Amino acid sequence: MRLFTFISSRVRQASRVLVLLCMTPLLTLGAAHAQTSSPSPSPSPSPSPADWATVEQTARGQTVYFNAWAGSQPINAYIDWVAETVKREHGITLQHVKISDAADVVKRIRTEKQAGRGEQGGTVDLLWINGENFAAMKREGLLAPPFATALPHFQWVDTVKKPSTLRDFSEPTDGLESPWGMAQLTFFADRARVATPPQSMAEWLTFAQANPGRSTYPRVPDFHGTTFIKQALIEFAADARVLSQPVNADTFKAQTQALWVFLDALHPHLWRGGKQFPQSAAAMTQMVGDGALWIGISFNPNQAANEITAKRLPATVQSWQFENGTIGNTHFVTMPYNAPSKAAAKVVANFLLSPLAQARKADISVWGDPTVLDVARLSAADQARFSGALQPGQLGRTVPTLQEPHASWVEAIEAEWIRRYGQ
Amino acid sequence: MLLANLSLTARRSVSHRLAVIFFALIVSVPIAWALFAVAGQALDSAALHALWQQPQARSALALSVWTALVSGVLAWLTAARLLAIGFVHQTLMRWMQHLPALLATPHAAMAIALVLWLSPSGWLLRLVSPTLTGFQSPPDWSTTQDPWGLGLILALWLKEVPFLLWIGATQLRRDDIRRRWQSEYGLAQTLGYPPSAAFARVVWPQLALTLRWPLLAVVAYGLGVVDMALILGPTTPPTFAVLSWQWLGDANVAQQAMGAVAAGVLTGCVALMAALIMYGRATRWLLVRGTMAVVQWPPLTTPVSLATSAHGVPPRWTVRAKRYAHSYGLWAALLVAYLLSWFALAVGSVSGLWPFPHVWPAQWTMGAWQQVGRSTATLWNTFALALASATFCMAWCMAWLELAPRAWHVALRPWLLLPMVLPAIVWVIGLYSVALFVRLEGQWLGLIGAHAVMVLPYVLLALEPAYQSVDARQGAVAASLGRSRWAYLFAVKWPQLMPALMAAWAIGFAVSVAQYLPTLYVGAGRFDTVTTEAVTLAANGQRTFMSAYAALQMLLPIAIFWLASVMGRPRQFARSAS
Amino acid sequence: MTTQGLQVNTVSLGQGARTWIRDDAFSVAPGEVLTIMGPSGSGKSSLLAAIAGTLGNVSVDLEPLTFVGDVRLHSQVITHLPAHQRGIGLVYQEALLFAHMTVAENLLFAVPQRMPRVERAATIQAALTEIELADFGDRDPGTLSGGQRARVAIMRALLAKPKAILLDEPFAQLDETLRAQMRAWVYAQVNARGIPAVLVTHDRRDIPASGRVHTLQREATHVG
Repeated sequence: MRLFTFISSRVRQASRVLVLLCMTPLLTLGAAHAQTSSPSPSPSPSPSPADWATVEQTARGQTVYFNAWAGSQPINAYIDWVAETVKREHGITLQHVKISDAADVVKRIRTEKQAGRGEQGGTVDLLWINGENFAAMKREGLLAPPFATALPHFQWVDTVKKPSTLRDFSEPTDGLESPWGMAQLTFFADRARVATPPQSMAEWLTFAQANPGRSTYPRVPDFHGTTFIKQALIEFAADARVLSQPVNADTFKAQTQALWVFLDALHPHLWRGGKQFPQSAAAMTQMVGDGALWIGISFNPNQAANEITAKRLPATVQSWQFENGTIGNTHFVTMPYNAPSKAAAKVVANFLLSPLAQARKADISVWGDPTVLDVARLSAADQARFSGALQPGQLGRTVPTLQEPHASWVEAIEAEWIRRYGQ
Repeated sequence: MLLANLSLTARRSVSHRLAVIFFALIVSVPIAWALFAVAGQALDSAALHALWQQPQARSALALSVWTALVSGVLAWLTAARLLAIGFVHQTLMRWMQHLPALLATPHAAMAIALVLWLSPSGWLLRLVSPTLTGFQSPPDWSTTQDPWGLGLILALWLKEVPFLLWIGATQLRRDDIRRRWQSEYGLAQTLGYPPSAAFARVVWPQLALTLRWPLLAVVAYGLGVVDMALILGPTTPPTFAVLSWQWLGDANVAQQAMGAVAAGVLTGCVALMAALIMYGRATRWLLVRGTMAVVQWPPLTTPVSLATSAHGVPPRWTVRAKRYAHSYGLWAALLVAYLLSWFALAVGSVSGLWPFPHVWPAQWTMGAWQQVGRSTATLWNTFALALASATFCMAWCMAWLELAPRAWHVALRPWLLLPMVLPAIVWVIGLYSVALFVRLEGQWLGLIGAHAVMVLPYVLLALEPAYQSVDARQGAVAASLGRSRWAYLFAVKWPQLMPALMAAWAIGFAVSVAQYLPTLYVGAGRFDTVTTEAVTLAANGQRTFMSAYAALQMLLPIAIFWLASVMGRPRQFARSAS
Repeated sequence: MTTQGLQVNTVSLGQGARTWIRDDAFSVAPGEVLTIMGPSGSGKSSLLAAIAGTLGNVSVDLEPLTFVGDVRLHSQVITHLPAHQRGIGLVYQEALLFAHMTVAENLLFAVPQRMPRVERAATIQAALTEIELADFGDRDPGTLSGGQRARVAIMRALLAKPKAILLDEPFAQLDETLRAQMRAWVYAQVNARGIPAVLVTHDRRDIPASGRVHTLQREATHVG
């Protein structure tokens, strides 16, 4: 009897502690469960690409976790619009997973593969990606089977005049990723301060000598900084065609010689004497707004117009690209091998390629990201979506797009830059 | 008969021991597991070799150590002086009321505010241009992101002083120690030592020894900080922690391996600091004796003497002003620095276009706050996560401090304080591996667990002094009155400790709100908190969004601190007639 | 060998490696006050803690005490019982009134839970009147003088209707006249309630008239 009372009193005490400990997390857990929706695994195996109607049927009710860079309000707002539209028309719930670096997600997927997560066991359905990250995923087999060319709207993509939709940093996409938008190296500056914008790297040097401390580029390995260096490389290389081949020690030395001479001459006239470099192009944009720098860099030809609309740059800012061409590339969306909702991800990728979505994306007042489609081949109604008056700060004329060097050149250049200027 | 003769302590209870073991395990297992997972990645000899070859690694490491040490030393000296002032003038209690607001300011917010003030296009220069300096454009000066890391040191210094001060003040408030130190301090004065010297020679050596763990935490934070270094620190080369973080985030596997090894190197640095600070005789001498000069000079006069002089005639106003400055100047300077920072954040969050010499923005915009208003899911996530992890940690700490025998507590304490001391990046790798294994990544429970691990040391540090200062004989009295242990806890001990409990809970809440890397990794990017949004937007360098989210990061903990101070208010007894 | 009252048989009492008391035994009759005296550090307070069962309530800096032996109250062995079930009151040198409760609430804490609420209020008021602090019910204990606090503490212990009471130098902080008053009152209470009491003190004047003294030495003891 005494033993029983002893045990029961202990049990009562213990249960009181446990209730206290568990109550709060459980309460919040329950509340949170109502908020977030968990991914619903696809009930059937991936449907055959030929049967698009079946794909759309399967996709209904699924949730797509779209991991996309979220550092810009216009882009976030556009993705919100996409989410509303696919919900209304296809019954798909699109969750924008806000990331600041796609490499984080690649690492996560790689860790999931190492942990043995199966085909439905991932946390990412769709990923906004290009360049090195794509090459890494392709190399390590982290991608789902090819799907892009089978998408109904892919037929409108301009693969002829925009070859970067098929070769990502000279790496063939093989249908593993679906093109989304175009990017090209663009510069912007206040007309009041910069009357004649430099039209090549050589002119940039002249400009920097005349206006010391008023221009710079982001620190390598930020991709804007790397692209600035690549642009200089292409302009100063002895033979630019060698750059689309994988790099080796001899070609590297031969092609980059003039580049380092140029940079050595340029740096003393840059911001902070070339001893310190800004973290990113976005930080530079803020400095252009404040007047500390006079030239900003972007990949979005309509960036300046966006900033003017958002009241971060004065209305007298103009954009331009070098008259002989600047480096351009395409950015894509792709599916990892372990995406749980593959059907819905394909439907979303297809929607992103639709003329409606592409036109809205190209609209300056929304995002201003150039389209991957061949507008001339579209129907008259769709073509009308793409026309619009020129906005302040918007790019006046287009220039040739220079091909990116092979991805292997990037690593070599970055390493050498860090060795020379990075410490 | 045999039963009656058994030693009483051995029989204290089996259930008691089981409970202690249970509580020890639920916390130490995740910690040990996480460390084990990291150790595997960090001990990669090929990557270590590659790291050594990196040209920027060595200067980055030197930079990290330099900034962490200098800011740690400055914070130590300032906190020592402030504690001396507070003790002699008995203003510590008043200061404690303001400290939570200072503590709640997130590190990133402080960094952003300093940039707003100190950068070449910052407010300081705007105020004096073009009238005094003649600048029409921001000069090309290295005031922030400077190669010596001075801006980073300043930000770290400003953020760490309130922390050390708060821990010191908590120690000085402990009932058991307080009376002893007060009497020793009074005794020293009767032996002829002026007040500040009495404090420096008698109280400070004892107090300083208890502040070593917090100092280690401060230096370790300085070594491992990423977000502040990104905003304020040099970029070429960046600090070692930033470098490690950038490598870990690279797509290339070799770079990631280097990043993991770099995190291991940082851990090694912290371990070295720990050994020096906690066990090194030389550092102990430096920390106590070496700072005595700063602690006692300029000499402090007790409040009564501030307004008098030797001859009974009130001293000249210059003398009085000097005394007031010595006594209150430092605290006032600290408060002013924080006020200016908050003001800068407030203005920055609504500033549109702001070309250089203008003192005020040319255009104002509410865009950032509208965006904040739209992100209610984010707010709810942050709040629920912080509430769950802080409450769990507090419940655990209360159970542990109540049940664990001293030997167990002493043995486990270094492990429990580890999440505070090791760089966050190390934990993130480890906790993510654990979460993957138990399939809790991207789930609420896993995320709460990860936050709980990071929050626990702070709650423990905050709760321990008060909890252990309770007179043990009170428990004996309650038992002798026939009331069970639970009745004693609920009716006597915990109500008495309410201020400390509430403060610890609020601190846990604030720490959880400020977590970035754990939410990002263990949450598999599924959960947006105010901090993840802030950092993502800060990466874009947009002043308005950065400031608005930094302000939001601050408002949540401040609200909780206010709530905690209200709930923890000591009882007001009715005024009696006699 | 009386079967009523308190019997304490100590085989050993120590802390860590040190043993203070070895092979000691005494008994206290109901209504009697036994005085325990011994050199400082001979473990007198620890012995009281062992009798009350509060061995675990030590400061975190100290090792726990170990007691081997047995304690009987009214011929019932209580050594295995936790402190709150023994019914043995304990009064310290410091009043240890709970700072967050009023004087009345401190007393209320001691009153057995079984008593109905109305009766509890009346009991407390009567107790306050008995110690001449009738209007002090709502006061903050921190505002009371030393003597007043000592009175409240002892009354609190008595309100719990203990079956025995242990006094650990309870009058040490009081001045001479107050001391004499308190002594007389406490011994009268003990006598009236018929409970055994153990008193630990340094002061020979605290020993009640014709009261027994039990001296502790380092090793074996004898009753004097």
